[in-house]
Amino acid sequence: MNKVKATKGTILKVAMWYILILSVFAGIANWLPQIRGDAPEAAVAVDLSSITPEKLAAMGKMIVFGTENPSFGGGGVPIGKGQCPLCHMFFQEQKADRCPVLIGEEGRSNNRFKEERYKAFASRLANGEPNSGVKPHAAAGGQYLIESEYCPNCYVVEGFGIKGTNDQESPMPIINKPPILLTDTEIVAVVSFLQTKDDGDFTKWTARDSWEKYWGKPLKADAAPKEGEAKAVAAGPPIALDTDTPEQIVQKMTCFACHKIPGISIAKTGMIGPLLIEKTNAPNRIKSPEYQKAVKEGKAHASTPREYVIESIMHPDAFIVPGFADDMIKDFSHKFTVAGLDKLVDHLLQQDAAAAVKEGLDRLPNEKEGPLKKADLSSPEGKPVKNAATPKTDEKQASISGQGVGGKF
Amino acid sequence: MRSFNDPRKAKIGAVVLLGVIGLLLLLPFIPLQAGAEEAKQEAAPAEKKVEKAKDVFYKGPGEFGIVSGPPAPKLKYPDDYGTYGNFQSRSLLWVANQQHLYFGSFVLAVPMFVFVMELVGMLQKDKGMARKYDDMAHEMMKISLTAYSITAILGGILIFTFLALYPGFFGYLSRIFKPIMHVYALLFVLESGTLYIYYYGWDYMNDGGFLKWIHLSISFLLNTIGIVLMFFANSWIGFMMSPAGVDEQGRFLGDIWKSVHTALWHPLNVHRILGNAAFGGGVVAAYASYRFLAAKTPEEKAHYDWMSYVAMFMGILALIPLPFAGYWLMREVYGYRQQMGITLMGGLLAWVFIMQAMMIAILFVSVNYYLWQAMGRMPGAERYYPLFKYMLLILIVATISWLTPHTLVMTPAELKAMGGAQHPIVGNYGVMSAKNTAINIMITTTVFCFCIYQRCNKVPTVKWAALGNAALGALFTGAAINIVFLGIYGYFIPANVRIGLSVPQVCSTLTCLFIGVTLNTMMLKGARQLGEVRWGQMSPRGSYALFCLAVSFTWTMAVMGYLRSSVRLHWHVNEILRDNSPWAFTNPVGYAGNMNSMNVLLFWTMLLFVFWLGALSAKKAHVTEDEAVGAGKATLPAGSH
Amino acid sequence: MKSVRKGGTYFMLKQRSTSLALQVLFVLLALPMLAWASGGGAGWIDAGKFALIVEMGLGLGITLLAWILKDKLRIPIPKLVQAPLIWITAYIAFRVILQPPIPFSLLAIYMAIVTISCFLYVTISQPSWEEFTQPIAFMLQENTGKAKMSRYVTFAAVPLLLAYGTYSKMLPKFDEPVELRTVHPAPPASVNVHDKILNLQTAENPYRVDDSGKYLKVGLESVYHGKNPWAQDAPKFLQNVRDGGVVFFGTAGCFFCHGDNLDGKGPFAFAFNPIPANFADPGTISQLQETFVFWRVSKGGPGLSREGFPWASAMPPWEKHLTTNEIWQVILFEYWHTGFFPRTWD
Repeated sequence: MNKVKATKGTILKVAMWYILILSVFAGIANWLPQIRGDAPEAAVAVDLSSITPEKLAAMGKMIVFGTENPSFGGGGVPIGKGQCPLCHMFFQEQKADRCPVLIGEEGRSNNRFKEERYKAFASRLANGEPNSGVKPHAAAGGQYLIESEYCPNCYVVEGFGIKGTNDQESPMPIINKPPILLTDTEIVAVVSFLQTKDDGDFTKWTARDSWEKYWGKPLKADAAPKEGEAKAVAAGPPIALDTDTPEQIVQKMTCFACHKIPGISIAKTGMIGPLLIEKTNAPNRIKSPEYQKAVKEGKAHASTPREYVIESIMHPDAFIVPGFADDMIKDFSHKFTVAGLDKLVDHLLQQDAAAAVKEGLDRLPNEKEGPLKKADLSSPEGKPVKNAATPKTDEKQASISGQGVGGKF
Repeated sequence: MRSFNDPRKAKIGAVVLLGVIGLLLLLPFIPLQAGAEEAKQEAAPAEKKVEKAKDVFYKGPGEFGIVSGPPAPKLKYPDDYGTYGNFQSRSLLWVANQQHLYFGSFVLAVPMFVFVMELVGMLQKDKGMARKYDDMAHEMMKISLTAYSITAILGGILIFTFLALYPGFFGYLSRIFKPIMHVYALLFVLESGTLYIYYYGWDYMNDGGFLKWIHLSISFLLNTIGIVLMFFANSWIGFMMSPAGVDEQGRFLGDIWKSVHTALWHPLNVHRILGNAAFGGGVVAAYASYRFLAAKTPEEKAHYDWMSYVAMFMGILALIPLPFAGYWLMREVYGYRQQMGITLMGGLLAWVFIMQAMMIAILFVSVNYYLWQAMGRMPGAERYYPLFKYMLLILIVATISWLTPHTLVMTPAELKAMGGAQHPIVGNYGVMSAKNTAINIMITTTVFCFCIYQRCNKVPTVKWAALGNAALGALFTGAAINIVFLGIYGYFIPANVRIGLSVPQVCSTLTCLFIGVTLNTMMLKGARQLGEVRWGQMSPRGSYALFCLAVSFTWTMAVMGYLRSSVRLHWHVNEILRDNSPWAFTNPVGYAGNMNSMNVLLFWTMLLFVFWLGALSAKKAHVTEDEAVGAGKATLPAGSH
Repeated sequence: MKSVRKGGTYFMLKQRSTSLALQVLFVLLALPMLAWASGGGAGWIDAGKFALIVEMGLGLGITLLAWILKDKLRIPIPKLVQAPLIWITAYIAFRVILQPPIPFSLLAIYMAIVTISCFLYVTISQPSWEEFTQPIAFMLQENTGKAKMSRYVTFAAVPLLLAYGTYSKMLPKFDEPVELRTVHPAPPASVNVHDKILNLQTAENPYRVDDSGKYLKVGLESVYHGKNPWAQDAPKFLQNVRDGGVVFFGTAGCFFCHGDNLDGKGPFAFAFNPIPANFADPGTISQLQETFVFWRVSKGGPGLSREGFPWASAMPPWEKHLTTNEIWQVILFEYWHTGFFPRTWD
């Protein structure tokens, strides 16, 4: 084999081979189903110079309720992008008492900033409120309303603060930040709605001027939503589907507004409901004397952690965790698909104290179990049910029941 | 260099040289340190209006940083974007990026490859073999030199494209990574210097002793610098995917390390190192294959045949751990944002993963086919020819199962005929159990094929040969049965238990890989040879299989890069800086396929130029090459022992 | 062809042909076996299975013929013939033997893989490659009458094939547009049937009971599978199954659409598009809760939720014709008959 065959045109052959392979690859890619992922509509500017205060207020109503004609029949409440009606009561027919009632808020707002209490807040937070960086400096009713959206902690109505903070911290999220993330214009729209909703009197409308005065700069029409976008939110109630991720379900069902949930990036701030670490909580809750009492009364029925969690979502009033009020929305049974519920429950049951600590989450002060400690982590979290049968946890249980006697809020 | 003629002086000189390079390596950190101090100084007097903000990623108590940058701009089209005529800016940038990345990977991978080859050459006892490895390493380095300057040119083009087409975005990114970018540039200078010393000092330092070790150390340094360079580049894309060190508005919080050390930085780093090594192996194998096909003398043919084999082997070695690195990356992606993981695996980009699956199947079939062809140069391999078709059958059955999609594309008429969305038989192949089984079977078959390759020109003479054969047979059969059994068992148990089954399946495969190959190698110690390996007598089809392998590597890189990039959807920097250009949408897979094919073709065309340059000067060298090289010792590369 | 008949090469050829026979056997046997295995427990023999037996027999026959040709009569099949033979066999297997028919997209994937593997097969080793290319080289290069004739034939055939391809490509087709239909949409939380609100989350089938009348956990009913519900001493569960069967075949007449074997192939089935659900398929009732089935039976196509777009279902709302109890019974019967278990929470 000393003679080697003539090798003319090797380069051409190889090039042809390359082009063949690459065409086949590209061909297959083109043969597969073609799905184009369009970016969500970028926010389109609202022309503030031409929009009427009425329109702005209507826009605010859309943001609050997701519809221009909210109906409250059968206990259901339409909820818009701003998610306000989850906690606030805007109309007599709508029931919500987690946060201050907003009927007649325009009138109250004109006095709030004059209160001594407000001045106490202002002097305490003179260096800026830590989460939002805002220094309370409202000088008019409209400005107070604007301030409350950007800095809920700048003034907390008595009796509505996070328990254990002496009404110094608000459970409300900062509205211009995720997850709610309203734009400046949208906040102005919401305040417009607040100022005019009770009697439709537009002489009291100051929202835009208040905004500009409060911030000392002109309100730029930077990024208000298109009309269509707000309408899209209104189309039908949100339903948790099995194709959703737990994160999406939490977002759709707005759990994050009240609860902190490990593993869900948007649910890190809720201050109204218990921390949802059900791998740790559920087994202990079932064993708790309060729960067993509910079982005896025929209200609660769960015997496994899973049943407990499902029950808590589907029938929130079956058992109220001590230290909390019966505040939870009761219409989840209409909003969850079977598989969607399954998914969320799976997620919740995987969360334990360790997961919460890892993400820097802790129980609320009004949770009887008390803040998470190292001790909680060192006990084997993997098998909570089995764990509950060991004498070690009996001890723990005893301490829980002991607290339970004196721990009623 | 003349003063180094005295060996003692040469040694001292070499050590000094190495020391200087090592010191130079510290140079880039000086501005970093200085920058930090400067920031501290700046921070001190400005304490009056210090504003603190929360980090978007590093959560937990005390993770507040001093705001030290403007918020992410709200980009507007056309003000913040540039265009060239009617071209899509994104596609232009895509091409520029991909080309730079290819060449960057190439110049990073070749030194890795060369380092291993030089080391293997030095450890060889046989002088002829040592020479062979060394020459090959030298030859590759020469090619890398040209590629290096092309990389720099492409890098320049990339930056200009950024500045011209995406000034708003690039401005934001460079404001945050200001210090890093300078370090990057300095490192690049350092890399150039090391590279030139390494290459031009090759012949001089080739004394087979101390100087050679120094030379190898320079190679090690070169690789270290290269990898650090890549880490820096990775930190930018890591920041774009999973930003950290900034607050919700995108304001920089003063700690550059946090912006560099994002959630996906290390998974990306590991994934890219392995990917680069596999890619380098593929490219070198393709180069050698081309030279093999175009060779004019038997010696040349033998040399390149051998070289393509070694390169292919290196590529496969890097390929095997790559899926595990990919698994880690995906897990971190899920950990960072589950949404991102689902978009990739089950959502918008799921069809792109089908393309990846196809690439993997092609890679394994190509490797096997190459080995079958390569056995044509082994005397005595005829004994195993009848086995090939069974291996092929197994591979094809596994491929069919591997490529059966879970969601079938069909018309209503077909749906009606099928009587439901899932096919009662074929539907069984669309699920995880079947996929895991298929891929493990494919890898095991490849390992089996390699064992046969190892022994096909030998007859084991160890006493326990029969026992060893039986053990090998039992090992592979047992592994296959275990994998298939677990695969079938997976259908009968709930999903959460099923996931755990992949561990014993992978264990079976790895057992075959490590124990099987070790046992086989031990059996072949002192084996009777049926004849020398006839390097250069492989059929051309083997070379074409290697081309296919190399193209698949490059294409896979392109498609996975596309995935990584498009998972950010309409964000330049995920959730911080929105893409407001008209090209914010995510392209369908077909368009991506066209772009990838075009990019791959462009890359190889440029590479051809590089190779051609290399061949120009190589012509002389091979005429004078040793006779002994052509005869070729039948030694497998170090990796197989 | 001369060289291949000599010595060692011939020996290898013989071996190869034996293995080809084995492969054909494998392909022809494996797929029907799979189809057989997945057919479920319903019925011992039907038309489909009879066809399978015939096909298997044919496959065996062909294999036997190939074996006789090669090993007994010593007529080797050249590689050039083997490859298309394998291809055609695979095509028949995927297109005809594999039932129900797979969609074209999948067939295309499979045949592409087979095409590539056929090529790999003939080029797998040097002798094989030479054997494969020899006749081609002969045809292209030799100057004998035979070679010339085959050249002419090829020369004529290529444009004809292309013309046919173009024709069939250009021929107007009237396929239905692709429809993305949610077959099992999310159910409501509760349904109102016969003025009673039933919570789909928690409701249980009242007829799923053991001998003592207590609720039988899902999965435990497997002891009743395959037992005779008509037996004199049939346990309570089987009596309920029997009542359900009466509803299925009598009161409601479900079998007209859903078929005697619950396989969705009733006498009326093919009048509908989409065809009625096939309960024997593991993708239907075995994936659903009993209460989901209750919702579908009681509310039918008109009761589909928003997600069920385009609401393509001919199912009547059976609450208008059956009592709640009858609906529960027929559901019990469906699960019992197919041997599936309803999906449950735990």
